[in-house]
Amino acid sequence: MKEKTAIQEFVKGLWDENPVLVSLLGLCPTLAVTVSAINGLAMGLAATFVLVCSAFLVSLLRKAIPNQVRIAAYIVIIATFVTIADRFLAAFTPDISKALGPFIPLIIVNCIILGRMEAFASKNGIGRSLLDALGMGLGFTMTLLVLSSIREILGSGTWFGMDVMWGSFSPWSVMILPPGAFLALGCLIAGANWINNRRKA
Amino acid sequence: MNLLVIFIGAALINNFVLSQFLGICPFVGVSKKVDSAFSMGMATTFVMVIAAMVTWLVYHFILLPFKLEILEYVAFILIIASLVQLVEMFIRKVSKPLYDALGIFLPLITTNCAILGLALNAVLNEYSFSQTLVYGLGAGIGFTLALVIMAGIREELELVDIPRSFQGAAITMIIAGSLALAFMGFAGLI
Amino acid sequence: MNNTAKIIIVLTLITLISGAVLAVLDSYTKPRIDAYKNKVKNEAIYEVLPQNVNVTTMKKTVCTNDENVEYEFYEAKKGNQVVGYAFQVAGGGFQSELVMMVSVTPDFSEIIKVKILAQVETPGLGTKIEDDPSNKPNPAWFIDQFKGLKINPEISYVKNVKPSKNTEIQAITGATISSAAIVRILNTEIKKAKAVLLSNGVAEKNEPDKEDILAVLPKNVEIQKIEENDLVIYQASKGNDILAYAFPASCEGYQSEISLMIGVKADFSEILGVKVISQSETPGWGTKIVNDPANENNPCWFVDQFKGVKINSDISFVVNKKPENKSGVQAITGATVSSAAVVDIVNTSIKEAQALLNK
Repeated sequence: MKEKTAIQEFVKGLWDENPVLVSLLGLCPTLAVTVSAINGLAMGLAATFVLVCSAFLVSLLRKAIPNQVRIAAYIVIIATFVTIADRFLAAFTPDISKALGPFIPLIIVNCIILGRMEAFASKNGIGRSLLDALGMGLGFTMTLLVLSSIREILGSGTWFGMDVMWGSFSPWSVMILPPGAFLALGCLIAGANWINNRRKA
Repeated sequence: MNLLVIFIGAALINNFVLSQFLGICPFVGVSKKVDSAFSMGMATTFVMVIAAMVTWLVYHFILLPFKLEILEYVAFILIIASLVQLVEMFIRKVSKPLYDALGIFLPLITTNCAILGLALNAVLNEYSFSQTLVYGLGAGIGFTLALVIMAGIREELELVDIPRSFQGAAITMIIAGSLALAFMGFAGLI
Repeated sequence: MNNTAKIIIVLTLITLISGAVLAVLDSYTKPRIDAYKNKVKNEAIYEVLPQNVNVTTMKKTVCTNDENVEYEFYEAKKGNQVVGYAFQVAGGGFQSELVMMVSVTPDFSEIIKVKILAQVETPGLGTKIEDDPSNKPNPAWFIDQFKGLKINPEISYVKNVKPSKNTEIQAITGATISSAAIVRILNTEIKKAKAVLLSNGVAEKNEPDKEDILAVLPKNVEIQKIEENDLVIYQASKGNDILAYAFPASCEGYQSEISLMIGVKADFSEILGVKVISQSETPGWGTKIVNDPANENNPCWFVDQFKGVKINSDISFVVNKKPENKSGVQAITGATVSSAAVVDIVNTSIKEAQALLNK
């Protein structure tokens, strides 16, 4: 495989290897919290924080951690950062913490994070790992933001809590219910496939 | 009565996959064949019940008395990871056929957020030990149900001409959406 | 071997460091999180109660299924009159736990107001219980329906039509389960709260009735309240002379909490009177401390014995015979434990009151 430049390491997470749309990782939080744009954004940023911090530490310790217990070690590191993020949200932004509720702890088992640790941070230097994590995190946040915007606008007629639809618009409640999450994500993935197919062709 | 409500709630109304979005990765990944979907579901149910019991004991007899609630996440995920390992070793020793059926799915369960979600939810809802047990069983059965239904539909889909962009994950999501709509009907049960 | 050791050391180190980091984090964020929770709770208490009231917290422990459950009530008073109680209730909604702060009138006949403290119901549907954007003039119309709602015989809900009775509310279309859950929680929890609050009479009421205070004091006195370190003493005076003190006391009896009002002479030489304010001792035995039907002349003979008892040393009690001196009382046959408890609390609370006043 050709060595990538630093920029490419960063950019790949945004589209080419977008964790949600292309690799289909981290779908649980993607579907669960995207009922409103602010929730999607907060979840994306929290996951990015955990991803970047864990990538830094794992890449720093990659030679010290014995191969047999690497997964256990990663999980402990990730769980620690998740607890930090969780407590900070609860202490400083109680409203968001209330809304994201049970999904912050599930960042621990977000396959994106463990996946990047295993596939990238454990094999690469600190600089590259950080860029990779940042790219992946932003790609994740962006996808969440797009999906949650679609769902909030169609489902509640608002965007970040502001009214954006015309007065007689009747919100499609189903979009903020569980089925809407699946439908919206299905269409989003199909859209991404369509664009990629067009680019290749 | 109360236990029955918890069971139905976990299995159907608040179905882990279709309403709580827990365990989506295996739901998308291992739902191509009914056989493997069923095995995966059973393996997950098995681990869920055991994990629910062990995490309940650890939370109520270790974390709470020593005021270590902040270690909840770290402790739970470590317990689940080691449990999966133990269960794998145990099944391999005890029953070869069972290991052949479930074996390859077990390692995947570690990162199945449904297990951690189950443990955390049980604590959040302040369930008693027996309630936690029933909750774990209900969640596992609900997970299996969703997985098997999905696999059944996807087996049929192989014969269908799907637009290119929708092939694979996209159509799976759309079907899951329809299933979730159907499962919402169960809300009237309680 | 070398490798195993390394595995163990590395894993232990990582876990230890993680534990240490989290411990520091905990000590830093916990006060903030607790403070926030308290703030939310306190704001809710004042929000659901009428305006301009004094709120006092009352704690009650009730034994159910061998578990001690502590209930907290917030009593609202305007002047000397109780105008309402607030308390927190919780129960399962559609997909989350619903936590609410409820206030009711003192006779538990009517809801004053309900406020939702926590819910994670289905966004856009179940969340309408708190905030319904489709009703622009009043997004909180659903929960506001509970204002002034009659509780007896029970609250019910109707669908798609305006409620016709004063115990009815209208459920939210598309969120019937969440609406029904609130009705169910309120029905069961208010009944439970009523039972708990009224079970031991007025056991832990912070303000005793004035009658009870006067009952253990000389006639025609002015009462002044002295409060320090959770202790309350009522000072009785006539003109400029302080004649006596009265103070409430409570203790565990044989099977319930016994609360008393004790009156003593201002120089703490003699007990003026003891009155039992509340108790739920064994009927027919322990209840003899207030009412002994066997003694037709004076069913209250037991507590009346305390009148005029000298306080120079501890009050003692004797069983089955008349007390020998002026600082002893006779215990009730068959209710020695309850009797002993009363004597005990009289002794200790007099000492406490004396110490406080000497300071």
